[in-house]
Amino acid sequence: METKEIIRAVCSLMSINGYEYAESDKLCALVSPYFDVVERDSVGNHIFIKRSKKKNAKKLFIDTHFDEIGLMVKGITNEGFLRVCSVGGVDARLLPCAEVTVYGKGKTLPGVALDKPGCIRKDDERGKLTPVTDILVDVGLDKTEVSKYVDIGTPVGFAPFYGELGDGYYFGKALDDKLCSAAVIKAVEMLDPEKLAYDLYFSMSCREEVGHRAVSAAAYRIEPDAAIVLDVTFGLAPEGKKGSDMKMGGGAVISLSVILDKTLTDNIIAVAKENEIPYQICLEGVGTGTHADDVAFVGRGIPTALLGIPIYFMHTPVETTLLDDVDSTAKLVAECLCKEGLI
Amino acid sequence: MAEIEYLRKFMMAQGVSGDEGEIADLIAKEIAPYVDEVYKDAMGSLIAHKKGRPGAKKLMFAAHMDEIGFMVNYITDEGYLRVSKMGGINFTAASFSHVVFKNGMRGVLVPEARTAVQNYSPEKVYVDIGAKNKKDAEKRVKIGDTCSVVSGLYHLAGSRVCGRPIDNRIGCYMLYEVAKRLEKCENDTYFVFTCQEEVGVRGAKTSAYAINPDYGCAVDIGGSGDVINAAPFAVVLGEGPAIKVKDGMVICHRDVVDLMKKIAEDKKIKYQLEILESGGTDTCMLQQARGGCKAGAVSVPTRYGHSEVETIDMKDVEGGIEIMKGMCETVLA
Amino acid sequence: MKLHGLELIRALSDISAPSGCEGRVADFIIGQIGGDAKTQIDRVGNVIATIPATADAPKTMICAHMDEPGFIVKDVDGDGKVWFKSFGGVPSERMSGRRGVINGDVFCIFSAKPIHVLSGDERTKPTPMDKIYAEIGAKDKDSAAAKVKVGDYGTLAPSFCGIGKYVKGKALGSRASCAALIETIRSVAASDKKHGEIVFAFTTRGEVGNMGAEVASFVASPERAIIVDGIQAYDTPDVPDELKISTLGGGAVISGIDAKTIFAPARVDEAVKCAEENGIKYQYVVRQSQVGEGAVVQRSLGGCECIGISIPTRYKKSASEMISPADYEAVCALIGKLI
Repeated sequence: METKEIIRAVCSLMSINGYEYAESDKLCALVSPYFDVVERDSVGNHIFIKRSKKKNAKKLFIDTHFDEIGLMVKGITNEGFLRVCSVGGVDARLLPCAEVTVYGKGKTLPGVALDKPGCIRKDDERGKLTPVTDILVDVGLDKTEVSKYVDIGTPVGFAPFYGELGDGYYFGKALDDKLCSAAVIKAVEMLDPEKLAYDLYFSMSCREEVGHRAVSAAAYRIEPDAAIVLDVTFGLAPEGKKGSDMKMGGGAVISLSVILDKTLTDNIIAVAKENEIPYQICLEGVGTGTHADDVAFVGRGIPTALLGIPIYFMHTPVETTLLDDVDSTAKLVAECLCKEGLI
Repeated sequence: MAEIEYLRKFMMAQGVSGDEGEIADLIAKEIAPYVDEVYKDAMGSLIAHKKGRPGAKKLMFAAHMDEIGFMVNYITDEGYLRVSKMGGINFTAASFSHVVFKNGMRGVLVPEARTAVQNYSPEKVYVDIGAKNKKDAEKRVKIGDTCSVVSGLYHLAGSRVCGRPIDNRIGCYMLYEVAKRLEKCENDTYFVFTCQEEVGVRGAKTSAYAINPDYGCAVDIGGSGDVINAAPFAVVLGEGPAIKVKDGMVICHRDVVDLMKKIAEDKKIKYQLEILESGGTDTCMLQQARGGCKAGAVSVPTRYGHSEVETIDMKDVEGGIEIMKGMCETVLA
Repeated sequence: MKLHGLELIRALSDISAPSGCEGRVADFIIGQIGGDAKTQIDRVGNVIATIPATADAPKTMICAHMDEPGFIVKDVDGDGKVWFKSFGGVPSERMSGRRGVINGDVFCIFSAKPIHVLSGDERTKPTPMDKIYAEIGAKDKDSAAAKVKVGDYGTLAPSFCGIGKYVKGKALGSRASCAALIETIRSVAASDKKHGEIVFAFTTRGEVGNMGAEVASFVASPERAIIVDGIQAYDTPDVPDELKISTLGGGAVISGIDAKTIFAPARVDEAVKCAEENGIKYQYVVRQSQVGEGAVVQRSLGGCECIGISIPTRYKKSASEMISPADYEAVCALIGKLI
């Protein structure tokens, strides 16, 4: 499949925190053909396993998080509007009049999020964003009709719109972090199974956006010999942090941090150089703010490296990536998987 | 001399902006004997035309006949009325007042309980007509009905009177008097009683366009600099009508200002010159109609505008009538 | 192909045609009118469709503005980011992080400052409009300059869709009004009912001061006018009834006044009576909520008798303006009966 098709297929699945298994069948249908086995653990992670043809191959754990930020219904008004709360850090800047999708029982309902109308704002609310907790969702239906499909706890996400932009950019919702999932799928699709050097445990983990709650369980159970975590990172935009945000088009991001395994990281850099894959270094210091922080010290400890892909407009409905960077990252992952002596 | 009973008659007819039917009909009836034709335009302004000599210049007088008031926009379950303001309402002045509807029904305009005076606003006041509930109210009033604070005219000391809506029935009355007293009509003269002035000088725009005058003269209330804590302002009550030099929307034509001054001096009428920093009257619309006309205005010095105790001196009114009469009797070139 | 009803509304909503750059929607409207009326584009871009009189009755102008809020490109910077000046009143919080379109076919995204550099204060306030740029996905300045240049126009991206009983899209209130005019032209052309001359004006610059309507009424000089537009509906939870203005599904709005117009009382009464006699659902609204084209049309030249008939619209000035198809039908029916 083309990179953008994989991105769209994976990212448009509904996987709001707590509902990572809601579209599990669709995910498995999409990803399983490239793997031997899929396991769904008790906390919500999907683990896709592909075994090496080599004897006594080491276990390599690759993690991307599959959950996405969203909203959850906390009540239905008499007019049939939904009151919602935030699941993961939904940005209040994006909600006024935003197009959303309500994932109701047996039916998805398109809706519009609305902030507090100006006519009922108090003086100290003027010129300010309405907190997510006061946001309403309009699905254009009466309460009786809405109640057939929607209940307390029904997830609500930004409506999925995907598209190409300009010179090879691609945008849509929930690229964080399913874009990296797509890159790994692409990597597995492109590699020669005969050359796979490790037993690959590819985890599409859950509950990252609500506090990194689930990945440790997967890493602990699998006890891999090494781990590579992939997560999206900030592409340098005009108002961004010069010198620390990554360059769009600069290739795969390889992170340096004191919590990461230096040998593994150096080996990955060597693979990139050897195969002339564009890459850029991100200096994280200590904590990385990603699942790498959790995986590295699980159980007896797991040597961990961190890769990433830069995106614009993180946590908006229009997260934007450059497809070249995704392809570079996929290539790098594929080459690493086939590289003897990487771990 | 100006007749207060006629003025009172003009003040007692209702005519909230956009709903000027009653006052227009009254003026039409009163002025008809003194002019050649009387008609209304599409906006609702009343035009009284007195023909001049063949080839005479067109002179248009404008006095707005509308008054500030309220329009019902919602009836609450309790039977109270929410209202939109029609014109520049001073809500502090209007609160706790009697209001009256066209059919004579009374109500009281009051602020919501526990509202600080400085917060009185259209959203914070309502009209209580004494209805028991919404259904009861709906029998008596409907959305879109207008009402205004109860009219009245009272004598104060000497030649001073107070009441509402002196703004601008005084102007209407003055034009009526000019038409009545006129012996020699040198110009093709239009007495226009404009609508919707209080909501943004709307009616004068279309009537000035239709008439396309060569000279224009508005008459309206002005301000007064002789009240306690007034901003510096040279016009005071009782020192004669004010000849407008400028306001916030118009700079009057020199020829008109000079003509008015000359008439006043010839007739030995006391006058004052008015320079307003802000605010506007129909004058600006007269000036800008089509290719423009030479426009000026007579202002009646007034204290406490847009309240129910607007106060004027009838001597100033008499002077204003005579100046405008003088304009009619001057051959304009 | 001639479109009808929701298909027509969808097509109109999805066209990108901001104030001052209405050509695309003008062409579409002329195509849809076809031979049902004599059409021309006047000197300020208004589409004027005229149906001659078949009876001695007052000349009527029916007016809806066809433009929409948008922006104009002011700079393409060294990184290929497109900076713009917006107009027409879409608040910045309804643009930031959303999709847009420049020149009708170059898609863009309105930037949202990265969350990791937001100050505490910035998290609670909308992004100022001048801090938002359009990302067109250009690798560098040259690539951007090949697609977009200073002075180009853009709008929010098309996004028409159904929401429950309703439909939503950008510029929906005003474009549905245009659709109502188009369908009225067709029904007048197909009917043998007698009427005076009717001028349908699809006006420009309605979002920035109604200059198009000013010229249209100057030229047409009608005796009567009907202004058709979307009107705010605040019929959402937590809003007291007296502040709702209009209600979706409540029928065609007949306005007594707007912020700058007192509509002709006799004609308003006539419209109310007409709705009642024909069983057309209507709501009578007296609110100084918005400035419509009535202000300029009513007071053009010697003035005309003007009324306002509107489609209740939620979330005006957003990509998610929402209307009820039933209200649209009511507006079409009422206009049809009035002329």
